[in-house]
Amino acid sequence: MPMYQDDTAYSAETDALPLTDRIQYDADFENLSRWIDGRLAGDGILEWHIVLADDDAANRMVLGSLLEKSGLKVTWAADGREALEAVKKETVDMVLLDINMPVMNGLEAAQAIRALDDQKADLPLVAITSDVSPMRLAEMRQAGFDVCMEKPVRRDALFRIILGALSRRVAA
Amino acid sequence: MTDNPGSPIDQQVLAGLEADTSRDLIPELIGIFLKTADERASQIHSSLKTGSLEQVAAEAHALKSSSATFGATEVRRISADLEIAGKNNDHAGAAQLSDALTGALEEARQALADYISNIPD
Repeated sequence: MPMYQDDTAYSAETDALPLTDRIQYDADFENLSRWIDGRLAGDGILEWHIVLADDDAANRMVLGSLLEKSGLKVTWAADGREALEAVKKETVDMVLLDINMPVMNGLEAAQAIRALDDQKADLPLVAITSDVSPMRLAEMRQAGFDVCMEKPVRRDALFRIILGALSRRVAA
Repeated sequence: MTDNPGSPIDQQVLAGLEADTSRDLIPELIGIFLKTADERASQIHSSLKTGSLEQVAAEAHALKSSSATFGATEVRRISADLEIAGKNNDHAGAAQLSDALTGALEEARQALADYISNIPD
């Protein structure tokens, strides 16, 4: 990703740019994979709940299908406002936000989540975007995103981020 | 990088999409992509008529993103240029690119239809 060249923290392994240290990038992925396989061998469903917001129906379908195929529960949102409402109402483990959306964009939604007055303010926030310019990356960091992934996002890369974010739950 | 340099779509991207989601879902996903792409192209044309280049840039940005997901390389390239033209308030350039987008979308539609027809049962 040449546009990331100004940011030395870019991770080629996860194909993503960490913006904070909230996500554990050196998680024991082998152990996590075994844990997940064990869960999926049971009822085929992981208890992890992802809120996914993208105003583009095609992108939303691709990412949502990818996550559901992996055994995750997904709440689909068409803009930041819908994502924020889902976070407020439901038990959520992670939020994936597109940046350019109508009604409430991803930056505004991230700021609103970080401003919540309960533990949800500490949720892992992932920006999924095609705009990875240095200015936009700075805005994402300021808004409270933990990591930025450039579209199109592949399953393996996304799952490493998800596992890294949720590994504390597995350990518990 | 495409398997066939002359193709308007990147077969490797589509194969990756198929692996990440499911073969059964691909026709539906492609159908949704083409429908939303048509709507965005139409919005770009009408925004050009009203001189709303900011809206042109916004729609082109979204189309750039989804066309990358579906390996529609030429649509993605034109959308990226359109987004820049819109941001630069370059009406003449945006109008030319908008026309080119119509043709690229049709080529992508045909190539994606061929891709679907070649998916094994």
